[in-house]
Amino acid sequence: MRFNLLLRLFFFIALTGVFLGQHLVFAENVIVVVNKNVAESSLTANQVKKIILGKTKRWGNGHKIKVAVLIEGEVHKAFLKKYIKKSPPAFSRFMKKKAFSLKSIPAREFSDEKNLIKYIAKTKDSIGYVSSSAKTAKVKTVSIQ
Amino acid sequence: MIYKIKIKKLVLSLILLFFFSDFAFAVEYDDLGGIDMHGGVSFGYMHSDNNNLYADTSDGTFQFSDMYLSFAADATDRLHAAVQLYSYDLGTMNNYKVFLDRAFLSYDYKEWLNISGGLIKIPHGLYNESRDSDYLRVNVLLPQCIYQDSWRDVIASVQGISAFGEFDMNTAGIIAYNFEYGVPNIDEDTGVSRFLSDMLPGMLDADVEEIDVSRAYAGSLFWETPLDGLKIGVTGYKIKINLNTALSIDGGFLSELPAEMLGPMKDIPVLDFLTGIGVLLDVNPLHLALDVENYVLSTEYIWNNFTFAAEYAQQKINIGFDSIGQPMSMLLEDTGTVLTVTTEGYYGSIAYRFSELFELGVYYGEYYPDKSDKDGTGNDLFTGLPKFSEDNRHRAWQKDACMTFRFDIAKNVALKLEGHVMDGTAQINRADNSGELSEDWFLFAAKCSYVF
Repeated sequence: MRFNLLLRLFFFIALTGVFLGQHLVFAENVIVVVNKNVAESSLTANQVKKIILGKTKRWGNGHKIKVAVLIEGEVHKAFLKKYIKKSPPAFSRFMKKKAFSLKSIPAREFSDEKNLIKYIAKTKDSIGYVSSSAKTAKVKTVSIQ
Repeated sequence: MIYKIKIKKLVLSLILLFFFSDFAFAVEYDDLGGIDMHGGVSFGYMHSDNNNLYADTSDGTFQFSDMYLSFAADATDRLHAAVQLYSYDLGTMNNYKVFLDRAFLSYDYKEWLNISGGLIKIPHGLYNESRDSDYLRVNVLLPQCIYQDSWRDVIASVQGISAFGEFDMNTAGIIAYNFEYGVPNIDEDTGVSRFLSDMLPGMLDADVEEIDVSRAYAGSLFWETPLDGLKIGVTGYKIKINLNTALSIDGGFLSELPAEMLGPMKDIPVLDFLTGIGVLLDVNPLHLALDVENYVLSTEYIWNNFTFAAEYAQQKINIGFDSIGQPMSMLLEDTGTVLTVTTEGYYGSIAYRFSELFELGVYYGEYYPDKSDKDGTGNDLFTGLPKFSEDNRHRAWQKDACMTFRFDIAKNVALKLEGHVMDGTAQINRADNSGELSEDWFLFAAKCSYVF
């Protein structure tokens, strides 16, 4: 009897953990940011995906797009889930494969959004993503249609 | 002793690469003058219960390692440059010689048109471009029915030009193409030489002295379909290879040939003596012209944590002979004779990522060195006699059921353990095996890879 109670308690805790884990991922609001020299103020979700995956390489004015990505964290997971439709390991391998092809300079990788924002702020034609709570005064936020 | 030296070299290489990796992480991209640097190193182990695959695997071997270092930079807004150094050790192949694998300049005119020149990768199937980085795939050994490692140098890279690009068709997906023309870099000591010695009938032994590749065409066309993650494509190449070989023949074999095939040779007393003791006779140099045509049909579908892939390949090889001296002229009617053999290979694979730590991959593939003789009962191209004895008919096929466990044990570090249940010996090279071959065998492979 006690064993059954313990078993139920274990499943309850496990399910709650899974639910909370999922909730934390979904709870992150991700925004797309660009350098202030970028003319585009809005992009579609599909455009964001193509830019990050390197399928679209230039902005409307012909300038080469410089991509910055996070490599870990809930914001990264939420962004991949919402826009890229790849798991973090699959995305990581895709980016490494792209780097290995040597056909273009690969995306710059950051482990925290503070450094990513710093990079976007100083690098013309760059794009990246951060949480909606990040300080974004030095970069431009792009609305997603 | 040799192992000790190799392991020392390997450890030294690892230390150097780890040192360079720290350097790469420590130094900002902009501080390197806009040069992007990447690299990787992997070392492995193979062990088979019977038969040697590429190396002395039946005793277990560590001669299964590779490493690369690459640099890329944007010279201007539209001009891109890249260089990659590569080295590997696979049994008797390459032995850690460092060579230039890729070095090219690429001009980005439009997204649908880029022009590249230099030493560029040949398109072949889904994974040839990334095959030199073990970390980038689930399996240790790519399906050998399509990506035969002994043939690697033939399809590694081409010195020439290419045009490539992508057409974005919005809701209809993306079409990506690549067309190349040039000359492949082929080493006398590796793939072609091993292919030739296995293609020739058992009594002949060929030592490739010179390789001249006159031209190569290669291309790929892939459609990334509107169904997210699904792509379908075709790749192909056509290569003409001229070979000058020193050929020797097992004298003992001649005594078994019918008298009408030996012709006037049967009256030579010295030959009678030599054939009696089975000595190898040197014959005149042989000039061979190989016309190789290959195509691969490919599809890959990535859905959530699943990756499905399937490929089918055929390779047609026309073999032309001239400068034939005695006793080869006994075996082939005329100089300029052309023989044709068509190989066939296909596989299907599934990989599933259970967590960020663990991924499981399985594939099943079949390979036939002569698709018109899948059971080994056919006749030899040269002699017209049965190609294999009854006990050796398993040389006509190789069926490979593979399962891989991949563990991403740390950031950018993967450890893989893999088992292959094999039926047939078509890709077992005679040069690696002295005794009888076993039809059914098992191969274990392990590899640890690090990239930066």
